[in-house]
Amino acid sequence: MNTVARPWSPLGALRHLNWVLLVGLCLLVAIGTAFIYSACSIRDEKAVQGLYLRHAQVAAVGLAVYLTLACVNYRTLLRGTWVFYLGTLSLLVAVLVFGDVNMGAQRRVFHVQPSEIAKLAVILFLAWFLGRRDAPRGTAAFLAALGVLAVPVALVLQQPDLGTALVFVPTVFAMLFVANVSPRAFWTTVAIGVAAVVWVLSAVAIAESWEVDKKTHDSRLQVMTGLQGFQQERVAHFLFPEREFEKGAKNNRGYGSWNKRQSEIAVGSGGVWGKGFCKGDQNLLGYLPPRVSFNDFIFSVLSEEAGFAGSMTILALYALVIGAVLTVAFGCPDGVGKLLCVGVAVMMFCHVFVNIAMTVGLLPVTGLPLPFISSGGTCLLTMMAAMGFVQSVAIHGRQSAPRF
Amino acid sequence: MDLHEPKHFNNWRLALLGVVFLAGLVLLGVRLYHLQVVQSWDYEQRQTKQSVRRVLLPSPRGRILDRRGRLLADNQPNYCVALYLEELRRPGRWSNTVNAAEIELDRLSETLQIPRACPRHRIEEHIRKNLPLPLIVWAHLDDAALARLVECRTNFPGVYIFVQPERLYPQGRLAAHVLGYVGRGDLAEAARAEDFHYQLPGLKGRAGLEKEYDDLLCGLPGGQLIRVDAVGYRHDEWTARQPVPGRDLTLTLDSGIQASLENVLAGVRGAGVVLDPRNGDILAMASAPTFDPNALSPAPAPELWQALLDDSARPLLNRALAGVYPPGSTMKPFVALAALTLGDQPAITTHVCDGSFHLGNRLIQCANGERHGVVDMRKAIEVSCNVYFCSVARDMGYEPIWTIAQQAGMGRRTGIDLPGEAAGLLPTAAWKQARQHEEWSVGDTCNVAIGQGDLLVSPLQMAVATAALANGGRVLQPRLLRRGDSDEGEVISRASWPASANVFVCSAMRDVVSGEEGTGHRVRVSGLTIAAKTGTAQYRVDGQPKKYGWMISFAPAEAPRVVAVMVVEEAQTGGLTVGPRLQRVLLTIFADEIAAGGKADAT
Repeated sequence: MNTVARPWSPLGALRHLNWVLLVGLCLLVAIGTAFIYSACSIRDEKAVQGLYLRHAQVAAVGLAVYLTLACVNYRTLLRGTWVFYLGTLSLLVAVLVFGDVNMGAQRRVFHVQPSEIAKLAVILFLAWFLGRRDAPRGTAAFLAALGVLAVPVALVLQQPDLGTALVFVPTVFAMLFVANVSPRAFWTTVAIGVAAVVWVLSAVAIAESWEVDKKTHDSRLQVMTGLQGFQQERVAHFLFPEREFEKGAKNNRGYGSWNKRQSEIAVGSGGVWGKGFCKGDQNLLGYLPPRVSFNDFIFSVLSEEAGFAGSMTILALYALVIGAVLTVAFGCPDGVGKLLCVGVAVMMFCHVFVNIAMTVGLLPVTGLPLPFISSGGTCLLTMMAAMGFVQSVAIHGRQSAPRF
Repeated sequence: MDLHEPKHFNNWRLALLGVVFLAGLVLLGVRLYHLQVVQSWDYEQRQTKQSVRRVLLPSPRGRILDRRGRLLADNQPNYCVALYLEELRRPGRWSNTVNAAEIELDRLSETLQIPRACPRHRIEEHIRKNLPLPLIVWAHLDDAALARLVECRTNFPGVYIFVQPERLYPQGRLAAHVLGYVGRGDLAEAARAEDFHYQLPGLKGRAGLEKEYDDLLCGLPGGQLIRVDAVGYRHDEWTARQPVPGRDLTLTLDSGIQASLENVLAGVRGAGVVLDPRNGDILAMASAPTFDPNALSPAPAPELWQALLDDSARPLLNRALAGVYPPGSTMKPFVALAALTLGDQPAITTHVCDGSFHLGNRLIQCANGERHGVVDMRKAIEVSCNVYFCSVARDMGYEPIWTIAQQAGMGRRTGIDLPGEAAGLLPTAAWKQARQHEEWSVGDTCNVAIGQGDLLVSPLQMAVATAALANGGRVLQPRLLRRGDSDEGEVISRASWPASANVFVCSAMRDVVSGEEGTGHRVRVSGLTIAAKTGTAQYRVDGQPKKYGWMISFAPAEAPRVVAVMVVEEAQTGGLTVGPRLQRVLLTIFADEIAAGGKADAT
């Protein structure tokens, strides 16, 4: 390849831009902005009404970050990734110390949600750690990778934010799988993990038949599974969707049950073509809880107003973008770039799948945002930065990099 | 060039990831297809069910007019101040919204210069039960307050003027018993009929014609759909069905005659009925004492209502059809008819009256202990001789009397289009056996023959019976709804007495008014031929002997157009107490003709 000989310049780099990635991303952000507007148009608070503008502003900043990262060679950046990783860890600690409490969970500090950034930090760090040519591939490396995963997950779980923590696990395991690190240790861990999930689910299911009061029930179950009361309830909702849950909650407007039902009604009543932009009844009348309709439940708003046609369009766009990220991974000659793309693709897929599955009642309610569409600055910025790294891999991956 | 491609990074692992991703997205797609295409209709229904509420809209109530088109019952707008709570809603607890509403009410009260009428608990109750509906905080706004509100309405968001139709009886007490009154509709009832979540209170007939013809008057209520948000506030609304206004009722009543009838009954307890014997139209029907339906509609003050219920005079009772009395001597014309139906002989039979009639150990006397001497039937009616009629009844037995009385409509409801009619009582041997465990005796027959004993009739029944006498034997269905001038009326049955008997009794009844010894001479009106019969029936209240005064009459005697019947409780006698009153009513009815006749005589 003669690309090696070409001197590096930003404009030259942009010539190799993967347009599918950029256009898909921009379309998703634009759609997100529109439906955040729709979701917030009925709100009284000026600040909330303006959330769509904030989304667009953050996206503009994100685009700048994206293009900058795209122009810089990821190999250069990734050498300093341990600094980024440690910085993120300290932010996670800061949240636990100074964070403001919102809806029962401390997630933000300085208007930033470090748990979102942590996902990217772990991906970058592991890509560098596992992807180098001379990287260790034994059980020790596997355990080290688990250690890299465990520290931020433990901190995130303290907030507590189960949804975000759950995204880390498949992301890291997919990277370990692709890097083919210590297959025996890998599969053993996967088997233990699956067993653990089965254990939790069956414990919650069995706990349903206990004839004890709510408090005993919850504390006993927490000892068995480690899940807190509200998390237990959501899992129970997932397992027994038709049951009305009155334990604890006076009416069944508990976050899980009410939101899940209203979200399903919103999606279902949208029909094939939807009710029209800003005309979704479930959203207008506030049945979709206004506190979550513009972030975690934005897909309900979207599929009510744009119907099956709209929700399929969104799924197709995600398929396109994730597919493009995988294609970049295919084309990348070195392990670092490959692993980076794999991590970003899995993270995105997890967000998309868990969020939409929750919206349509396939998974218990968790607070995971929909990438590029949900309102929420940190998430959007992190996702765009991640895509910037992928773009950088697309541009610079073709140059051979003997330095790793 | 692939020198740097590490061998352990196999691309099939990437492909496997791609397959997993694809499978995940397809799973989502299938679920979305299921929700949005297959089950979409289901979810739409659930969405509608949780957010749309149906509200019943009352229709304007029909008016009631008399036969000349004068308004007897009308609707008038009641201006209310209504609070729309969704415009006052405050985030957080409900009490925040209640507080906001209270502050608004206090401000309003100051601006409108009227005291607050809606306490806190009513706001709370409204939030619990009827949140999407306006909360009415003041009703019956006067013009001054209304003007002030219109002036400053922009300062009060969430405050609206709400017009509620209300029933008005422009003639006040006139025909109160006939018209009845209205109340607020029963919430549960309408909810049962159709699937309404809420209804604005409509009016419902509670008594009289308002109750009888409620279905006609109330029309067809409309429906409105309201969309409510998740908290239950009204979001928007649209009318699903316009209400159909109720039908106006034109009555057979003549408010002039009605007023005169009520005037003469003022201050006594009693009742009167004026009827057209040609078709059964009721021209006037009054009961005294009476009440003001305006005070009872839509809801009487509790103390007023209690006072009406506790009043021993029972002003709410329509004595004209629900009050039953022994008819006294007004029964005698029908006994005469019974006797004449058996043959012409009784007309010329005479009996000697020495003032009392002995039957076993019982003694029946003529009024005031008078001795009428030798009397025939005609004279007996004129002077109302008890001895004569007891003798006739004893001779012919009870069977013929019962037959004629029954044919004339006694002992059963006339079927008038008003609720609460009493059937009265026409006793029989079987009834007496069952009730008093005694055989029917000749004494019972004599009692019925002079309108005493167990016989009970309502003034309306007497009016119908008198009309049958006046029109030659047609027993008519009395009615209050006007059908037009050409309508012949509905004949329930034809009496079996012969025409000659009818003529004979009618002329005897003319003698009652015009004869020298006639008991009904006080009803005499110059220029008008009147046939009448007085009656006085004895009863006891707390051991004190009292009398019901009766009079039945029709005029003009040659071609009767009007039957007038009246009963007064605690009277002296029928002739003395009722006679002059009935005379004034007849004078009012025939005023024009008497004046024209007088002129004709003068020229």
